[in-house]
Amino acid sequence: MHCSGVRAFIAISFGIFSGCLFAQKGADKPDLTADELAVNASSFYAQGKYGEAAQAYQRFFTDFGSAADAQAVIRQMRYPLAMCLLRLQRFSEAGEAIREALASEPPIETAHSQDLLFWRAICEMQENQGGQARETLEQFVELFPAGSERQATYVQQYPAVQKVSEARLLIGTCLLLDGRNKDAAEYFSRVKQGLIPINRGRATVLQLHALLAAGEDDQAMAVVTEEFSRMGDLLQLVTFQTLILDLGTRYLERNEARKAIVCLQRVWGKDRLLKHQQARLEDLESKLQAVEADPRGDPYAKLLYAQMIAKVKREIENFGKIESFDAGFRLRLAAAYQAMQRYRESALILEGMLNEMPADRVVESASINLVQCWSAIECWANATEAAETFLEKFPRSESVPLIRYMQGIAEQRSGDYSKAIALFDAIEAKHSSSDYAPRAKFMKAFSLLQAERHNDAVAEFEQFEERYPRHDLAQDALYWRGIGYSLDRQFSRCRQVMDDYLDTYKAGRHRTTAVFRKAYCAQQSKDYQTSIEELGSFLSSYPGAEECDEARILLGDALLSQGRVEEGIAVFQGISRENAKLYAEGVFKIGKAYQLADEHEKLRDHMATFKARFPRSPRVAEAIFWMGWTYRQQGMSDQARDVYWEAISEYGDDAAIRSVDDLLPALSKLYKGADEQAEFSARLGDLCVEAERTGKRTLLKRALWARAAALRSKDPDRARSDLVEVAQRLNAQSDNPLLLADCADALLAAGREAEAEKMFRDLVKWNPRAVQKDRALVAIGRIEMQRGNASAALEQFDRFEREVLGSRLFGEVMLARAELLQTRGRMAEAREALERLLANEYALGQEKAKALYLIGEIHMNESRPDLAIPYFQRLYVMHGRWRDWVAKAYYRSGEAFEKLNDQSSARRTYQELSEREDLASFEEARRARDRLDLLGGPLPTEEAAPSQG
Amino acid sequence: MRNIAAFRFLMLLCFWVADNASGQLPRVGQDTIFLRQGDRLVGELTGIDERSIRLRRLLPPLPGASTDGAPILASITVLRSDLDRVEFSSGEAQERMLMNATTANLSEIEALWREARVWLGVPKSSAGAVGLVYGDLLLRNGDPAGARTALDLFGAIEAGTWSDQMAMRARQGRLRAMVATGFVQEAVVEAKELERVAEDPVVLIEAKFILAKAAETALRKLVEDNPRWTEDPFVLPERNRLYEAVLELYLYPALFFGSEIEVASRGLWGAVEVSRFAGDEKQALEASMDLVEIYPGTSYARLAQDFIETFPKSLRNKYNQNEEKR
Repeated sequence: MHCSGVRAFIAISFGIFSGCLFAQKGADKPDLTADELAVNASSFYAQGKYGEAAQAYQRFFTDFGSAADAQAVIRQMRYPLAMCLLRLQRFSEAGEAIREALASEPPIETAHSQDLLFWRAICEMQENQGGQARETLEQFVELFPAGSERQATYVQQYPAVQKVSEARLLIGTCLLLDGRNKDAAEYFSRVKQGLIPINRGRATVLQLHALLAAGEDDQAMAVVTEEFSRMGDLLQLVTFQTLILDLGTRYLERNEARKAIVCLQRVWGKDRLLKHQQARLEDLESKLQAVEADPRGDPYAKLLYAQMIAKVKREIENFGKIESFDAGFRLRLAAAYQAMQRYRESALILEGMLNEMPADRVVESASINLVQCWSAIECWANATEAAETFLEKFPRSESVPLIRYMQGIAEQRSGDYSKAIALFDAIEAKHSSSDYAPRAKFMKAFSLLQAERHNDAVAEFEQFEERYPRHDLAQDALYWRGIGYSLDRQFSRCRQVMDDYLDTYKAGRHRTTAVFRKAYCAQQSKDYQTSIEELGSFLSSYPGAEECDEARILLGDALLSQGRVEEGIAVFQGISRENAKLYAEGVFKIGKAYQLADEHEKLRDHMATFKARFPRSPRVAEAIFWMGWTYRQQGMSDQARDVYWEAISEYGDDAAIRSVDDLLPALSKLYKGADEQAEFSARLGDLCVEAERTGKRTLLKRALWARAAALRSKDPDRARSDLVEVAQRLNAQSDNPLLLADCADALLAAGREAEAEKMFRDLVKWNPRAVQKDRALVAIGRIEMQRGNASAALEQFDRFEREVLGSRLFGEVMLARAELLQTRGRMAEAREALERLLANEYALGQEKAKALYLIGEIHMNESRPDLAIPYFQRLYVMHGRWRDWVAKAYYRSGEAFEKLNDQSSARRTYQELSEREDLASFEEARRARDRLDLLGGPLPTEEAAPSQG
Repeated sequence: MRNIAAFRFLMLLCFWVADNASGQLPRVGQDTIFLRQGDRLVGELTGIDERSIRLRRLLPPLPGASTDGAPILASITVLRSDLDRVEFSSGEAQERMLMNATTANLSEIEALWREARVWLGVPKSSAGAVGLVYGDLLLRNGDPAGARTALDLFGAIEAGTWSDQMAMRARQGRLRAMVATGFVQEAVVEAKELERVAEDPVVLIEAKFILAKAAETALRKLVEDNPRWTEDPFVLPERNRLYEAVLELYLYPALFFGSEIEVASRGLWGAVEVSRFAGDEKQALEASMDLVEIYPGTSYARLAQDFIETFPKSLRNKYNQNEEKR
C-alpha cells in the first residue's frame, strides 16, 4: 500500500510527466551513426526529453556496445541514462542501469558514482528492498568525510554530499517501511541532533510518527514536550500537529485525560495553522524571487527555496481539504477536561468553539454538552444563556425538549420560579410526546410548590398522576401533592394522600417522611391522640430518620397539651444535642412546662444548666430572663437582677457571646423609676471601673455602652460622650453592630463625621446581615448628601432599597432620595421614589404626608395642577394629624384650582382652610383668607360643597 | 479523523522522497528591492530618508576589462513611492541574538533597534521585530523609566510599521507598557476594544490578560469591602460572577492557545492565584498540576510545584488517582 503512494508521489514531486511521449522526430531512425546517436541522446537529455534520450542511449548500447572504441563514450552515457530512467520512474531499469554504471571499469566519475549510489538506494526502496536500500544509504553516507557538506569547495566538487542529510532521513524511513518502528524512532532520535535545522525538524516529525506507530505513546509525549518550543520552525508544522492530535486522542481513549490535555492543548486551530504556513510560503517565495533576481545568486539557494515552497504548498493544499479539524480537536480537549470532572474548562472550550462554528450535528451535540457542563458546576446563568443560544441555533433539533428542560432546571435552581414554570409549561405544550414532557410537568408542579402557589402545585401533581400513572416520578408526584396540601394547611387531605402513598408504594422512597408528615398533619389539626400515637410509632419505627428530633418536639408538645407533662419532658430530653437549634427549642419547651406547673426552682435550675452548657447559644439571654423571671415570681427582685449581673460578669468579656448585649437592656428594665435607674447607672459605673482595672476590655465597652443607654434621656450629653469613648474601643470585626451603630450616631452628633462614617461603613462591611444596616446606609447617604456627593448618596439609598427590608427608615430614605433627584431635575424618578414611599407599609404617617405634598408640588411645577390636586386633597383628607402639611396642601390645592380657572373650587378650598381652627396659626391660613377676599369672599352657602369633592 | 491520518501519511511520504538534499535555509547575500512596476534591483542598501532609498550596486565589467580588476560600484536612489518591498540580506547572528535576548543584552538590542528603526516602514524589514524585542526587554527590566521608553517605542512601532501583524503586536506591547506605567484604566478600556476586534492570538491573549487582572482587582476589592460576602446575599452573586469571569479570562490562553507557552502558563498561574484567593482548592490544585505537567520548564511551573507541595500527599494524589480510576 505504501509503495503505490510512494510511486504516485514520486511522479508528482519529481515533475516527471509524460513529456517523453512527444519524442523527437528521427530518434528511432535505423540508419543513424554512433556519433549521430550520441549527439541525439545528449540533445534529448539536455532538452529534458528523457524518454527519447533513454531510447537513444539504449540503442547506442545495443548497436555499438560491443565496439571497443565506444567503451569510453558508453561509460559517459551510463550516468545520464540512469537519470533518464529515474525521471521516467522506470525504477527497475534505472536500478539495473545504476548497477552497470557503478560496475564500470574503469569507474565512472566519482561525483556521478556518488550520486548514483544514492539513487540506487531509492530504486531499491521502490522495489520494496528496504533492508538493501538502508545498507546502500549507509554506504553512501560513509563515502563522505564528516563535516564535508559544510565545505564549499568540497560541495562544488562532490555535490552529492548535499544528499547526506537526506540519506540519513531515508535510512530511518527504510526502517519505518520495514515496520521496524521502534528502531526507526531510536535511529531518528540518535541522528537528528547532528542534522541541520530543517532536517532536524523532519527527523522529529518522522520520529514522532515512528513512536506512535510503535505504540510508544509516552516516549512520543516526551518528544512533543521536548520539541514543542521549536515547533514554529518546523517546515512540516501541520503534520507535527496532526501527530500530536493523534497522540492526544489515544490518551483520551485510554482515559488518561491529563495526558490527553497535555497533547491537545498544543494543537493549533486550522486557521492559525494555515495562516502560519501561508505566511511562510509568501516569505519563501519572496526570498526565491530575490535570489533569482541576483545573477550571481546561489543556485543551491534557488533549488532549496523551490523545494521548500513546493512542500509547504502541498501541506497547505492537503490540509485545507480536511473538514472539521478544529471541531475534532476541541471536542476531544473538552472531553478530556470533562473526564476529569473539570466542567468549567470543558464548558469554556465548548463555548468558544460553538460561537465560531456553523450549526451542524457536531455543534448541536456539543451545545447540549455545554449546557450540561455549566449545570454541573451550578453556573445557572451560563447554563441558561447556553440553552437560549441552542434554541436559537437549533430550533428544530430533537433535543429541544431536553434543552428547555435543563434551562427550566437552571431557572428553578437560581430561584426564578416563574421563568422555570413557563419553560416547563412550554415543554408540556409543545413537546407532549417527548420523554421530557412528564419530567417537565413534574418540575412545573414542584416549582409551583417552591413559588408557594400550593393549590396550583397540588392540581399540577394530580394531573401528572392522571396522565403518567406508570411514570417513575408518579410516586414522587403523589408524595409532593400531599406536601402541597400540608403547606396549604389542608391537613386532613394531606393525611389521605399520604395514606394513599403508603398503601401504593410499599417500598417507596418517601415512606419515612410520608409517615412523619401524616403525624405532623394530625398535630397541626390538633388531633393530639392521633399525633401522639403516630409520632411515637414513627420514633420507634424509624429511629435513625432525619425527622426524629422534629418529631420529638411535636410529640412533646402534644403530650404537654394532654397534660402528660412528665412524658412530654422526657421526650424533649431525648432531642439530640448535635441538633443545636432543636435542642435549645426542647430546653425552652421543658422550661415552659415547668413554668406552667409553677415549678420555679426546676425552671431556674433547668435554665441555669442550659446557660452553663451553652454560653454561646443565642438563646442564653432568654434563659437568663427566665431565671430572673422565677425570682421575680417569688418576689425576689434583687436575686432576679443578680442573675443578670452574674451572667454579665461571667460572659461579659467574651465578644463572641453576643447575647450579653441583649442582657444589659433587659436588666435596665428591672430597675424601675429614677432612683433605681440611678442605682443601675452607678452599678454600671462600678462595673466599668472593675473592667478597666482587670483589663476586661469587651466588658468595659459593653458596660459603658449600657450606661450611655441608661443615661440617654436623663443626660444626653453624657450619654453621647460615653458612646464617643466607647467608639474608640470598638472592633468592627467582632463587636455587636448595635454598639457600632449607637456609637457612630454619637460620633455624628458630636460632629466627628469622618469617624462616624468609617464606623458605619465598617458596620456594613463586617455585618452584612445586621438589622442596623439600615441606620448605617441612611447615615452614609446623608453624609454624602451633605458633602454634595449626590451620586454617592443615591448609591447608598439604592443599596438601602435593594438590601434592607421592613425598615422604619424607608420613608426617610425615599424622601432624601426624592430631594436629591429633584435637585438634579430628575422629576419623574423623584415622583416614583415618593410613590414607593406611599406604598410602603413601614413609612411613617408624617413621611407619607410630606410625600403627598411633594408629589403635588412636582406636578404643580410641571404645570399639571389637575394632577397635583388629588395628592393635596389626599393629604388633608387622610393625614390630618400633620397639620403643617395639611395647611400647605390646602393652600396649594386652592392655588391649583385657580390655575385651572376653577374659581369656585379655589374659593371653597381657601374657605375651608381659613375656617379650620386647628390650622389658624399657620401662615397658609392667613394667606388663604387674603386669596379668598381677592376672589370675592366665601361662596354662597348652597355652592359651598366640600373641596375634596 | 480518517482524512487527517491520510493527509499526514501523504505528507510524511512527501518528504522522504525529496529529490534533492535540503540544506540549511540559505542566506540571501544581498538586498533586493522590488519595485511596484515589477523590476528588481540587487545590491547593498546604504541609506534611507523620508522620500528615497539608496542602493549600492555592482556593475558588470566593462567590455575588455580584466576579470580580476576592482569591481565597479554605483549608487542609485529609488523613490519610496516606487517601492513594493525589500528582501533584506539576512543576518543569522542578528536573528539568534533576538531569539535569545535577555535583559543582559538590553544595550546590544537597543543598538540594533537604533540601527534598524529607519527601515520600520519598509515592507519586509525586520525593524519592527527588533523593536518589539527591545520593548519587551525594557518591560522585563522592570524599571519605570524603561516602561515609559517601552510605551513610546511600542507606540512608534504601531504607527510606523509596514506590517499589520507587527502593528497588532506593538499594540499588545503598548498595553503592557500602559499597565507598567500606571495607565491601567486606559489599558483596560483599550483591552476591551481589542478583545472584540483582535484576531491575532498574542494580542487577544494580552487583552484578555489585562481584563483578567482588572476583574481580579475588582474581585479582590469586592471581597475586601465585603469580608463576610458568604453571608451577604447581595454580594454573593456578584462575587461568584466576578470569580467566574476572572477564571475564564485567565484560563483562556491555556484552553485556546495552549501552545503559547509563556502566556498560557502565566494565565494558568493567574488562575491558581485567584482560585487560592477564592478558597477554590480543587481549581487551584488542578491548574497547578496543569502547569507542572504541560509547561514544566516555565517559572510558573516551579511556583505551582511549590504550591502543590503545601498540600498533603494524599490530597495531591487524589486527582491523579481519580483520573486513573476513571
